[in-house]
Amino acid sequence: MHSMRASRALVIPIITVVWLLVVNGVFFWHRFGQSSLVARLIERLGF
Amino acid sequence: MTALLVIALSSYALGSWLLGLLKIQAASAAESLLFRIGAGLALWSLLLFVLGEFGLFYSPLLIVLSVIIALPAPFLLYREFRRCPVSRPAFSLTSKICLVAIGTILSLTFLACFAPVVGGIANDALCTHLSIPGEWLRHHGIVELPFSTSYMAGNAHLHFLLASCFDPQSGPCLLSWLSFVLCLAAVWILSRQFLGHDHALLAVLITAVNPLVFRGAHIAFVDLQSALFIMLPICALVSYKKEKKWQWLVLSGLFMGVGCGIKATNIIYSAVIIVAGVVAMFLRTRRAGETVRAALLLCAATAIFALPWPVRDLLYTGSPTFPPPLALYHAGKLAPLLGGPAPYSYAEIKGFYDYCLSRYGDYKRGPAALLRFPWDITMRPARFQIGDSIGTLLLSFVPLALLFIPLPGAALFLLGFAVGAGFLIYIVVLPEARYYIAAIMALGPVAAYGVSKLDKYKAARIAAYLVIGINVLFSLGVAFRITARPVLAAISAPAREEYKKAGIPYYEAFEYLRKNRIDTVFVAAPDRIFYYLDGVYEVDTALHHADSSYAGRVVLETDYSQILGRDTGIINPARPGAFASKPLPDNTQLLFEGPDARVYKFTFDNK
Repeated sequence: MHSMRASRALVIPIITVVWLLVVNGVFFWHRFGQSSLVARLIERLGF
Repeated sequence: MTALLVIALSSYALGSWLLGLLKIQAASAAESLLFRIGAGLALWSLLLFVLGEFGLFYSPLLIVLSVIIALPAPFLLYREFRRCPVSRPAFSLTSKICLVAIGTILSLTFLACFAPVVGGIANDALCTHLSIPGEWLRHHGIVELPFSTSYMAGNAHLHFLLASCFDPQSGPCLLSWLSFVLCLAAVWILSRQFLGHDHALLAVLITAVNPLVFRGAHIAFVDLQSALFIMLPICALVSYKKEKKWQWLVLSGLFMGVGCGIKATNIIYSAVIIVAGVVAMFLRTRRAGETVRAALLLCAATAIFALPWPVRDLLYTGSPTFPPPLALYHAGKLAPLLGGPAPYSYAEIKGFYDYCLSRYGDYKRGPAALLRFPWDITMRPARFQIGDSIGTLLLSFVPLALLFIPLPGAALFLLGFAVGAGFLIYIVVLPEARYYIAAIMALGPVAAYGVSKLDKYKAARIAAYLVIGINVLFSLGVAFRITARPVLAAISAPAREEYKKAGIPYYEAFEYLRKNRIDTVFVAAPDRIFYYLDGVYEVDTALHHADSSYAGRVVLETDYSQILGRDTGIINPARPGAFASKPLPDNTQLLFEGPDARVYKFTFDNK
């Protein structure tokens, strides 16, 4: 039971952070990233 | 502003009367306000329908009637708030920031309501939701009009008509805003079933900052009224669950029935509410007899209060709805019960459906597209006629809420309702974003539940609040962008003039008629754009065969190319009148020539 709780405490934050990064990363990249300052900045940084 | 006050107060008084008649009382101040104003709006639509059918749409009569009904409202409000005092929850700092964000959205949309109405017939608000009630008011009743959209179920149009009696421009917009506020109150009430104050407020925030939702709050669209009459019956069912009084089922049926008379999608939403409600009730009580009786009462009440518009449509068009389902034509032409041909043909209706489908371009509905729909509507909103977006809060947190199964019963109900209704609307109607507003509202509390469960994981909590913060800033940016020009037009006279000039087709000609107090003008064909005329217009299809009996008549001639909206690219300011494809008729005197319209008078001086 304890190990289940511990793994849950690890898994849920990981899933949450990854999911939020994916959803919001894609959304805001579509909205602002492609043709903006952010794109130029990313390009300049060499990514 | 008077429109908002009088309609809200008169609705409150009417709703209080109904709740008193049904012998039911709301449990909290928020519920009391919501149910009373909601029930009042429902009764107003039924009352106005009757008045309209009897040809009693006279502005002074409607103003006096609504003021008289509103008179006891302050006393009733005072008495009700003595009975159930407003609770003042101790909100956290985060919640206070939420309140500021909600307040900003409400303030911006409220101010934008006072901007003048602009746009041509491409603007749905003007084309249908303002011009149709305007024409009914002009004809003093719900008469047959030469526009097929006038056969749409029109409970929201009746509310707009009443508001127009006070102010034809801001009145209807303020009703949309009132519906927005009431929808947020409903989200609060639904959330409080399984969330604390702070997270219930978060649910309200998630709904309020959704650009798809708030962009309808300052324009005369019916989407928020439609959503209100979906949220209201759910709230009434919650009260039934608590108190077990059959009267709540009648109230819920009233809300659903009136909702079906606002927008056809409400029929689907109402069916899903009934099915989801009945299933939830049976799972909770395990009493089949009681569940069946409740289901029958709910269905009967909904059907009775939904009847007026389908009956009217059957009488005049032979179809219970507009647009009619194409399947109705399988048996041949539509046959209005009053006899004669239907006011629109199969080709027109087919064309209408084809046009609606064409707006989705190469988007094809299918099982895979359906599964991807929540992702697509978030990431590629332009495909679904949104104009803006729905933000990322729902896609971020609703799936995360599923990590914490089993969900509370109320959250599961809202999730099941939103998924069921969304699925049916996608399959049966269209993937048009506006049609999902009520489902989106129902998902607000589910998303907030997800956030509430993440609170105990530090990294997840930080990520969640960061995403909420970014979304709020994004939405405030959208809100400022959408409302900047209307708000400026509402508060500054020169900006108002510029706004109207840039957005209203034939504006100069309308202004000429207004300034010269020409209160009757003749036109060659009816058009919804004449909503902008202050005076009366009469349709005369024989203008080009005018004889001396026409002497003195003033004619407004318009350039058809401008009718969709003011397109300054077409207007040639260097050559006024360049639009005119034909010369001025004989025996006329040109009174005014604008960039896209002219006004002339029949003289017959030489005869």
